Amino acid sequence: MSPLQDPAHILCIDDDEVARESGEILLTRWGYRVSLAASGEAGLAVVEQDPPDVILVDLQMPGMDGLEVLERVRDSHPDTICIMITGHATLQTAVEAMKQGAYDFLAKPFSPDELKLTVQRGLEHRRLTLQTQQLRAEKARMQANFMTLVSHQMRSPLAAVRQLLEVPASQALGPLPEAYQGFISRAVYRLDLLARTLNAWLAMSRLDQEGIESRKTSESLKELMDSLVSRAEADAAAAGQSLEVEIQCQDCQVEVDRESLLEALYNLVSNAVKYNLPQGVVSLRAAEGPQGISVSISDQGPGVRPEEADYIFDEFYRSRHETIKGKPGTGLGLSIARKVAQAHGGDITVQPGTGTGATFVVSLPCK
Amino acid sequence: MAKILIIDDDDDFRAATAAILEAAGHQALQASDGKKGLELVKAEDPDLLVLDIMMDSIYEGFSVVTTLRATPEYVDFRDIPVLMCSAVKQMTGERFEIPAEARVAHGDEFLDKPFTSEALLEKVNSLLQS
Repeated sequence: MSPLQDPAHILCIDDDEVARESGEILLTRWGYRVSLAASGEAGLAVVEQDPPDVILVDLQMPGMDGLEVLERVRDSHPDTICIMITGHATLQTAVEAMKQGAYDFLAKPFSPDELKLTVQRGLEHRRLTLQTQQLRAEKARMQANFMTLVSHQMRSPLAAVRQLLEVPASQALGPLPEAYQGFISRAVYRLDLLARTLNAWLAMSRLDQEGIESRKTSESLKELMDSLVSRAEADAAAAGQSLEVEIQCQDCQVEVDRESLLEALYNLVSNAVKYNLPQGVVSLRAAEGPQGISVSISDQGPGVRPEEADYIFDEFYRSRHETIKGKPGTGLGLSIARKVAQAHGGDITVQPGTGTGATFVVSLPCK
Repeated sequence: MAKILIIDDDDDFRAATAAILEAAGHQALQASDGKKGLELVKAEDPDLLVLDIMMDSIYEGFSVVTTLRATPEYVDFRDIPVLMCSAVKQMTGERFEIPAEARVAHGDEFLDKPFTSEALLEKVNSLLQS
């Protein structure tokens, strides 16, 4: 995107020499820099070498006509203002040109004032368009800067506070009076949760489809599930639970961003362990269906209430269920997992049901 | 008791690390950047370095290790073991790939910040014994 030039650069494309010259005299008098071209082809050459802010182009010319010039300029320099010059006989064509993206048209014969006004309005329009684009770019940059700010300016002090608290928490300098211990460990707990929330939130804002697309590799479903299980086994064992695994398509290959997908699946399995019955079983099933691959993760916990099924994937939503709301969580795990699945062209759904455990199904399109 | 030099640009990290090490009976020296740290290495000949990776520049810690290991000026100190620390995992969820030139034979260790007292002392003790 080229900025508005000072003085503004106007290109007149007209096969009529008199029209070109009178245009040049007037526009130069008004302080513009003027280029002239006697044909559509010559005009496009000027556009390439010295892009103008505004093009005045005659609709009817031998060879390349005004409409074709318009079309080419819309492709190569979409932000350039095109004003069509037309005789009365070609008014209908001028309307057509407007539909195709011409900024305005001038019907011959026109007065110098009409020309002046139309060019001025065209330039103003271009200035506003450029300004809007700059503001958008600025906004995008500020958003990116904000994320950097959050990462560095918030996480560093958070880590430092956590490290400072470690000194009393570990009673490194001698025994801490018992009355203080609970407060310190509660502070540590809350701080760790805050760090996790911040990290999850940052991970989510970094998630975008293009990133996932660019990291996709062909993976064996069996191998992915094995990695998932080896990662989740310790969590299940620590909670006194067991994993039950069934992989129906041992030879399936999937195109995935391995790390983010494993993370999403692991998140679902951790949830299942976290909300399961004590000594419960978490079942993992991978199968191939007509729609693609599905991986389901079931627990035997309180389940998902039907009225909650619509909300549990929302950012920062936490279940109102008594046994669930007491457990620590960021409220972001499921939304991140679903975003990952959706960026793969799949989805995550939940089968609601109370008292029968929850089942989350991750679907991925087939290769 | 060992003489341990902590090189970290974060005052609070240094203070917390020094407190834990001193409570465990070690002598803790402190430097707030790589340059001061290397000067203290020459002046004090510590038994171990606890070194932050990301200081003023993101790989400042690695350049400290490389200087220590590979320049003739530090030939007398090149065997000092180094415990490299970074909050990068907490910050980005990823770990540094330790560059080959900063890697050394006698098993330098890496520790993610923030660390527990036990983790710090365990790494410190194992490096001091090696």
